[in-house]
This record gives sequence, C-alpha cells and structure tokens, in this order.
Amino acid sequence: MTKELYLDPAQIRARGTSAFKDIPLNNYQKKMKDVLGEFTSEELINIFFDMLTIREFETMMQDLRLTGKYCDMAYNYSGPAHLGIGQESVAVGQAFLLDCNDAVFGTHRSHGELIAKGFSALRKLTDRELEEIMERSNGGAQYRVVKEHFSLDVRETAKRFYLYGIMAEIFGRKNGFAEGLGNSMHAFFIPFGVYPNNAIVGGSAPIATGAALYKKNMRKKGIIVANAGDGSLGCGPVWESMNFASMDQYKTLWEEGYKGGLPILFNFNNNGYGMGGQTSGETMAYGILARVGAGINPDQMHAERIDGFNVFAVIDAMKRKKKLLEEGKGPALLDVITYRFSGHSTSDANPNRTQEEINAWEAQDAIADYEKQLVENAVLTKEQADSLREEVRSLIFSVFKLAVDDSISPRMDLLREPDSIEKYMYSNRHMPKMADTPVEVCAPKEENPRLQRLKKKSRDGIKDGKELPSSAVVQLRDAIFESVLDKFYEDPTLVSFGEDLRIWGSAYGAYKDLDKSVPYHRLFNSGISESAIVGASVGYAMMGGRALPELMYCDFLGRAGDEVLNQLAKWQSMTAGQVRMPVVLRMGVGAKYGAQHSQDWSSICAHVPGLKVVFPVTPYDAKGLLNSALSGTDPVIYLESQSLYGIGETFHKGGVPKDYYEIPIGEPDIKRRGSDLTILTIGATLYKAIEAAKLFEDQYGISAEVIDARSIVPFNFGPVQESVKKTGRIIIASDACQKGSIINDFAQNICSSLFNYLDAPPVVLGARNWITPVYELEDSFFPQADWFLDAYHQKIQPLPGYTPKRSFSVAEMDRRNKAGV
Amino acid sequence: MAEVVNMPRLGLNEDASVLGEWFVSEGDPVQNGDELFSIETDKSSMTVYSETGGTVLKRFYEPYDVVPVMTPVCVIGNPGEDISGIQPAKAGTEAEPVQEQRTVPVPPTTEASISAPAPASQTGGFLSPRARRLAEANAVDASLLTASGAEGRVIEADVIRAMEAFPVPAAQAAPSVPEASAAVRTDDSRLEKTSPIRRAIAKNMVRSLSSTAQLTSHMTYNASCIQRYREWLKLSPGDEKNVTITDMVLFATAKALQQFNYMNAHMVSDEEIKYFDDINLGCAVDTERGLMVPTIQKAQELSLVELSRRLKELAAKCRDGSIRPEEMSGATFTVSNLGGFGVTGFTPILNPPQIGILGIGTIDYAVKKTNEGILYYPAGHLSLTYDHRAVDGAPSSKFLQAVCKNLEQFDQLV
Repeated sequence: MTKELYLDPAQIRARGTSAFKDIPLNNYQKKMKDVLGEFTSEELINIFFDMLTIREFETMMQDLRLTGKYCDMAYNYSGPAHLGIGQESVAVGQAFLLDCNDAVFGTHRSHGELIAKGFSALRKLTDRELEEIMERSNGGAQYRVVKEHFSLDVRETAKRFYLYGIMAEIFGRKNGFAEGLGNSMHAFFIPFGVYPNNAIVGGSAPIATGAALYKKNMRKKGIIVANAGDGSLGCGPVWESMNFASMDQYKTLWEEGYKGGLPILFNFNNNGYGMGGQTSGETMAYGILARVGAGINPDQMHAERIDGFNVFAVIDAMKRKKKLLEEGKGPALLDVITYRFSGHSTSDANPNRTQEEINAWEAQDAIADYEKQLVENAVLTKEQADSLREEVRSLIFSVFKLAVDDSISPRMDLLREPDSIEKYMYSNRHMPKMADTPVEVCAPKEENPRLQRLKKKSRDGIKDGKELPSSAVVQLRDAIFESVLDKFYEDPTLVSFGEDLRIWGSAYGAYKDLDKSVPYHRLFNSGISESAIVGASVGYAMMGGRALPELMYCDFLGRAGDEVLNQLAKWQSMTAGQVRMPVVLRMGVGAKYGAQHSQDWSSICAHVPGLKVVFPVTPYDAKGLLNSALSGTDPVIYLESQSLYGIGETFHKGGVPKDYYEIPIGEPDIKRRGSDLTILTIGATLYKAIEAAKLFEDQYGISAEVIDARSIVPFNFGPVQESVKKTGRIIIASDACQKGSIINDFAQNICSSLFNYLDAPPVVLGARNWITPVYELEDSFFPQADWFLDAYHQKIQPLPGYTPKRSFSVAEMDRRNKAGV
Repeated sequence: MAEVVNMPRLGLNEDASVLGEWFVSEGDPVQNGDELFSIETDKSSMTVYSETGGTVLKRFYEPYDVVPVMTPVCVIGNPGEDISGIQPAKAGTEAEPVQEQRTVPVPPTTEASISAPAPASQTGGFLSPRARRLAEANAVDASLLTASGAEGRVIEADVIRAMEAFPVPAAQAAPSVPEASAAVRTDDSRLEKTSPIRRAIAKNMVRSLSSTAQLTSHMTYNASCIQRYREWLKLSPGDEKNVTITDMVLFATAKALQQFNYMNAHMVSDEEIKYFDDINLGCAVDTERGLMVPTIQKAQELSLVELSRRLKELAAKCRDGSIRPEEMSGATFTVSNLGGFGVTGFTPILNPPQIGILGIGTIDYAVKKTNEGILYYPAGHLSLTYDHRAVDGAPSSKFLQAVCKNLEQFDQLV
C-alpha cells in the first residue's frame, strides 16, 4: 500500500510468459576422496564423531522407550521420543559451518540438530569463552556436576556439559538447560546459537522469520536456520513465513542499508513422511519439495534438492546459502533428502511403510557409508573407527548415568519450592528500551504533523461539566498514537507490523502519520498473514527486540491461534526465563460488522497461562496501559474497542496527560463511587454500566459503584473485594459471549473470597451465546443498560414497580445451557 | 409413632433456652396435658405440657442444660419403639427451621413470557450469606423474617429491619438465677462462669444501651392524693381493696399515654417510628426466678380495678411459671417499680423498640415552699427513661409532668 509503486495496467495486462529457472536436484555428487583437500582429517573425524554421537544418543532414547533400559541400566522414561536415526548426516552437515552467531530453530525431531549445532559451535569457541558460558548456565549447575565427575580439558568437558544439559532437560531434571521445563521437544541452548525446538509442526518457521528480521534490523552477525520437516509444508504458517521473509518491500521500499530479504534458510529435512502421511505422492502436491520456492518469489528462494545422506553435499549447500543470506539475497530453501529408520515416535509400528523400503534406505546408511570412506581414504583405520564408536558409547553412557541419578540430577521440588514454575510465567521486568543504541527515525518527534494537530485539541473530554465533541478532543486513538510514537523514539529495537499499518494508519487511524516519523524497516505492512505477524514478533522478541504487532480484529486471532496460544504465551516459561517476550499484541474488538468482526476474545487469551491481557476503554487508561505494556518484558494482549476510538477522556480529571506516564497492569479502576451495588466491567461495557448506574440512582435510589477492570490478567481483586464488602452485591459484565467468559471466573473468585459478604449471587452479564447479529440487532446481543436493571430485579432484589424485559431466571439459564445457547 | 417434643421458641430472639426441671422420668406414662418439663429463659419460666399420650422414651438433657430452640428435648411413644433416628442438636447450634416444601411455580421457558419475580413475602427460606452473617452476629432469628430479596431470599436489609423492629427485650434488673457452674476459688476472690440467663441479660442490656440514645429524667409528685385514695379503696368489699400504688401509677401512666401518644411508640428504624393506638403496658414483676415483664394489653380500656386484677393474674402466672410467651410480648411502654426497695431514683433501661420506660421509686417525705407556706408532703419519685432519637427533652418532660399531675389529682382521673 504505497503511492510510490504504480500498478500499471498496460504492463500488468500485457501478454507474455513467466519462466521458472531449473531447480537443481542433488547436483553435488562429490565424495570424501574429492574433497580431501578441503577438510582437515580432524574435521573429517569430528564429522564422524558427531554423527555417531547423535546416533548413540537417539539409540539410548529408543532403548529406554522400547526396553526400559540403556546399556543394562534401567530407567523409566515415558516422555516424547521423536527420533532422527538415519538423519544424522543432515544435522551434522548443516551445523558444520555454523557458529554461535548463527541461530538454528528446530522441530519436535531435533535432538540431532541440537547436538550437531552445539558441538560445531563449541569447537569454534575459545576455552575461556566456553568456561564462561558453562559457568553462567543455570548458575553453573551443569558445569559443577560435569567437573566433579570428569577430569578433562575444557573442550572435552564442554561436550559432556552440553550432553548432560540436554539429557537432564529431556529427563525433566532441574539441571536441564531449561530446568526440565522444556523437555525433549523444546530443548535449546542459546549460548551455542541453538534456539528452541518446537513441538508444533512448522512452529519454528514464523519464529525463525522474526529472528531473521531482528538480525537484519539490528545488523547482527549470523544467519537463521528454520528447520522443518517436509510435512510442515502442509501448514499455512510455514507458507506465510516464507512470504514474510521474501516480501517485495525489502527491495522496493526499505531504506538503503536495510534493503534485501531476510537472512533465513528454510531447511526442510525431507524424510518423505509427515508422521505417517507420505508427503510426495499422498498428502502434498508439490511432487518435488524444492519446487515450492518457485511459488514464493522470483528468486525461487534459491531452492534446490540436496542429497542429505552425503554430508559433504549438505556442507556445500550450507556454504552457498549462507553466503547468499549474508549478501541480503535471502530467504533460501533447501529440500534435504533424508530418511528416518526409526518410526515417527517409538510407539510407531510403521504401518505405512514396508520393511523393504526401510531396508533399502538402511543399506545406504550415511554413517556406515561415511565410515567406509574414512577407512578407504586412510583417515581412520577400521580399528580406530571401532574404538571411536566405543568411545562415543561410553561418553553417552557416562553422561546418562549422571542425568538419571536423582541425587546428582534432582527434579524441581514443587512442594518445597512451590514457585519453581510460577516464577517463570512472567519476567515482570521494567525495561523502557531493549538496547542502548541510537533510535532510527525520520525526523525529530516534535515535527510529527499529528502531534502538532493534537496540540490544538483539548486533552480533557469534559469542559465546564459538558462533554466536548469528538473532533475537539484527544481521542482514544490519539492516546494510543502518542504512546507508540514515544516508544519509537525511545526503544531502538521497537518494530511494529501488521495489516495496513503504514500510511493507512491501521484500520481506525491509530497509526495515522506515524510513517512521517518512523522508517520502513521499523514500521511496515505485512501480508494478510496473522500467523506470521505474531510468530515473527515472537522470534524478534526471543532474540532481544521489542515488537508491537497488530491483528486488525480480535476475530482474526484464530488465524494466529498457535502463535498466540502456544508460542507467544509459553516461551518465557518453557525456557525457564532465559528468553524475554516483550511483545504487545494490539487487537481491535469490533462492532457493527457482524459475526466474524465483533468478538471479544479476551477470555481465550486469559485462559492461556503466560499472557497478560489488558482492555482499556478510556484514553487515559489506553495511553497509560500501553506505556506499561511497552516498557515491560512480558507478552501483553492489548485489546481496543473499535467503537471507542473517537471518545475523549471523561473520567480522569485533567484528561490525558501529554507527558509519559504508566498505569500498572492488573489494577482495576473505580470509575464511579457508590454504596449499594458493585458493577465490575471489562471493556466497552463500562459505558453501559455507567448508564445503568444513573438509572439505578435516579429511579430507585440505588447507589452503584462502577469498577473498570482495565486488566484481565493479572488482576488485583483487592479494590473489587473492598467494594463488595461494602455493597454485598455485584454484577460483572462484558461484551464477550458469556459461555466460558472470564467474567464467570471473576464471579467464582468473588464467591470464594467473599461468600459471607454476599447478599445475592454475583450476577454475570455477558453477551448472548450466539453469533453477533447485524448492528441494528446488537442491543439484543451485547449487554445494555437496562439488562443491568433486569438482572438486578430478578437476581438481587426486586425493584418496586419494575417490569423486566429479559429473563434472568434459573429456569431460563437451565434452558439455555441445555440448548447450548 | 414416637412424638418428638422440641424446645419451643419463646421469643423471637432466643436461639436457646435453659431447661428448668423435669416433671417426668424416662419410662413414665404421660397423658395429653401432663407437665413434662419447665423452661427458663432470661425473661420467663414456663411449663411444657405433653400434647400426646404415651411413655417418655428418652430425655436428652439434664436440668439447666442449654437446649437450642426447635430441637428435640424428649421423646414420647410406645415402649420399645425405635427412636435411634432422633438426635438432640449438637451443642451450641440452632437447628435449621424446618421449611415447608413449596411448590415452585414453573418458571418461564422463553423470554416472551417473563413472569414477575416471586412476591417478596414468598420466602424460599434461604438467607444470603451476608444476611446470615449479620443475623448470627446479632442473634437474630432469621427464619421468621420476611424475604425481600430476589428468588425469595432473605437479604441483609431484612435482617436490619428485623433488628430495628424486634430487638431483644432488655431487663431492668438482673434476675436471681441459680448459679449452676462451678466456681474457681482463690484466696481473695472466686471466678464463676456466667449462666446462660446471665449472658442473655448481659447481651440485651448492652444492645439496648448501644443501639438507642437513652437518657433519664427524674421528677417527684405529691403522693398524698393516691395515698388517700388507696386508704379509701381499702375500705371497699371487692377487689378494689387490693389496688396497689403500682396499679395506680400504671393507670395514671396509661391515661397520660393516651394524651401523649408520642410516648406510646416503637422506634422501628432510624427512618420510622410506629405510634400505637392501644396502650400495652409492660410491667415488671419480681419472681423467684427473677424479674419478669408481662404485658397488660389495651390498658387504656381497663378501669383501675380491672387493671389491677389483670396485673395480679399475670403476676401469678409469672410466679407459677404458666405465663405464655404471648402474654409477655407486644408492650408499647414499660413500667418498673423498685420503690418497694426504698430506691428513690434510678435509670431504667429501655426495651427497644419501645421509646419509654417509667421507673417508680419509693415514696418518702419532703418539704417544699408553697404559696400557703412550707408544705410537708409524701413525695413519690418517678424516673422516665426515653429514647432521645424518638423524642426530645421538652415533650418527654411534659409527659412526665402529666403522669405526675394524674397522680396528684388521682381522684379526678378515676
């Protein structure tokens, strides 16, 4: 969306053809004898050692799951075991050139990549660097164990340290790299550039894309590798990510110095199966995976097929792709042919493939083939190779014994230290900026034309007791704008992207004129790709930046379901606090637009541990809470009611402060004082409650105290409890559909804490459990002022002479429940 | 079929009563109307009679045990009957009032047919937790309250109304109660547990003093007229000869209350005062068990001798324990006499929601200067305690003056 780019009908409508370049398939055919001059024999032996280590590690996992013991030592492991036996050469070849500046993101089947990347990175570090890393990891917990049980040089100690940290993690021990909270499918070790694996198929793709954006924007060294399986190409987020990494604007619109695609390699470990589904031939349509790149961008993502069984082919491909990415020609795609001899998991009986097929691939086992080449090329003798196998076996076994020993590697004791997990749910840090570098902006802040216009508006929505017209006041959308603008000038890492943000100024104008101050690479329009928008934000934050993505409508949350509910919410705690997640996800709660554009899904977000959720509905609260959210280190779902963008501040005396201020997340606000009835609202219902409070007061002499929740998670019940102690009655209201709504949870909390103070059951007033109807019927769907009176009359105390219009009887409630409405 | 005899509820505010003495033993045959046991409350002692015939199968309590009201005291039935299902209440708890199962009207099933919520009086027997808390803290028996909450629920406002309308009657003086509990003796003092009656009185006294704005005015009157009148009555052959000074003060008070209706009232709440047409006089009667306060209903309709007769009947019932609770309730004003003990003045404690109580002191002799010179006369002492929330000093004094005047001109009054 930009006037700089002209959609020329003559050109677009002109006849012609579009040609694809040939896609190379397994072009690299060299063997060890052909590359002896390129590798030292130490390197060749290391490659063998690493492949053997992975094979033995996976064999250990397989033995534990299938026989309950490894090397005759019994251990009951019942966690996940998605093994990559057969795929070792791909992992080792990929990692060979990478160091700790390069970040790899993995899958549920990434023990191999984890080990390979770690070993490769540690070989490239100095002893001193290694010692520092080991001492810092988990307060030196792993290093202490390893030093106590092995007397070896730093590098050999580091290997054991690394394997021990991984094993302890997989076995759920406190000495694991994530204190056991990550487990097999989420293991990682950031100091070696091993970023979290992901148990959701394709889950790493959007996150790695965001990590690549961070590398590019913050001019960091290294490339990003998003590992995925061939099965993940059935997932939308993977396609969204490849597009996000390739967007034309990187070439056409971004400023000099920021031009070029994202430095990311989408590496598909193509073992032919997505769990049981045979991708080529059954579940997918691409025929040859590498063809996919041609659909994404004119460079065809530099896609090619590589023979993954030939470790030298993989190393060669990585060398070429790494160079492309460093030149700003990313993204790249590799279709790496491999095969897993083990099943999808150890419980897989392989019903979908023949033994003949497995045998045929096993006959070409990359490790056996590589060993043969080592002997043929006189790098190792057969005896040396055999003793290396023995060495690896005793290495794994010696570490295994430490990792499963309860006295050496205890688990978290949640009875003795009940906050062991709780303390990682949020990082709760106050960090106004995530880096201390200069901010890149287009002009001094004061020159922003909108800021200049706002100077002429009244900051208070009320003057002389009367509400000012919308056009005369600083509106809610302006309050958001001011907060965002301030932050762009404070935090150099801040990026904001989403649909129609730049120039258009987002759907309701909150960002209007922001483009006059903020350059493209920090504020840009993404494709209609909600998964990529949120997922990239997660990756951007994981690397150390702050992201402010927007989903235009809360209803689009479903499109980013995994990224919000599984990724954004969980990575702080799944890494035991080793990453921070300063992501503020703005979402509009719509109105007037019917069933798919008018939903308040705050409850869905509130249900998932790890997210903070706020829903300010006045300009003062909007700015103060956004400032807090943007200065914290936790993921915050920031909801905005689209029907309120134009309102002025009518509650806070003095209106919206021009200067920076913060409102702590989690603190409700009393918007109207009263003594007979408490009304607690979430979101725009506040204004209906205020209307209702006036009716209660004027017509029935009932004095209602109205409290605006403002935040949903976390939430301080103190002020609400104080109020209910006084009034004994509470109505809790929100525009969200009532079934499963957080207001029920609030009501339950009030019941639990204040049962003896209640004079009537807490009344819950949500929207009906229907689709949102057309605007003209919304009064029958969202709670209105008279619903409060209806409910009060029937659930709390009959109002003299009042005739309710809607039933709040138990029978009606039962009927609705029975009917599911 | 075994008949359970429950501890009756004697007053609105009693949650437990003290069992007095047993008149029957387990195994005794009883007939309808036989005495079973007596009860003592802080205000009265009464006998419970059998309403059935049979054998006393079980007595659950010993004399001077505290029994929650509406819970089993004994069981009457046929010998050998299984009564294991009948259990006394746990100590210290009041039984839930047995609620009649009401047929709940079928509620509407669609929004189109919303019926009005249940009428306020149709109680479902449920208390809101807040109402329960308040009722318990103030010993209000919430089971008899009118529910004004939605769904027939008794809510806080109902309890507050009840507390204002039916406070626990306060006694003017401590009744002498048997001290059942053991005393802990030290060299120079002894520590005793207070009896339930003592505790009830203590609670009532404090509540009266803490919930009303009471103050007392003292006045003397020339008693020569009533003394003369009484001497004259003594000569008559009928009941007139038994008329006492107390009767005469009651009579004079009833007449004054007719004139000064604002003293014949209940302070129902801070917002409302209820004025009564009928003058129901509470009158303190000293008995062996302690002070009791029967009520003389419609005192304004009674002649002096009728009033006197009625008081004597009630006093006799109090002394023999046959007084019924309804004969001790509904007073609109109370009179209490400590004059017999030589007390010249005291500060009687109100029985809220009544707004006045008149204390009768002794008659002694005084001198005063009159137009005719120094007068030596019998001076009767009156002490009027009134609730300043309901009535101010001047009007209450006018009332007291009127009582005095009635007594000074008693012959004209009758």
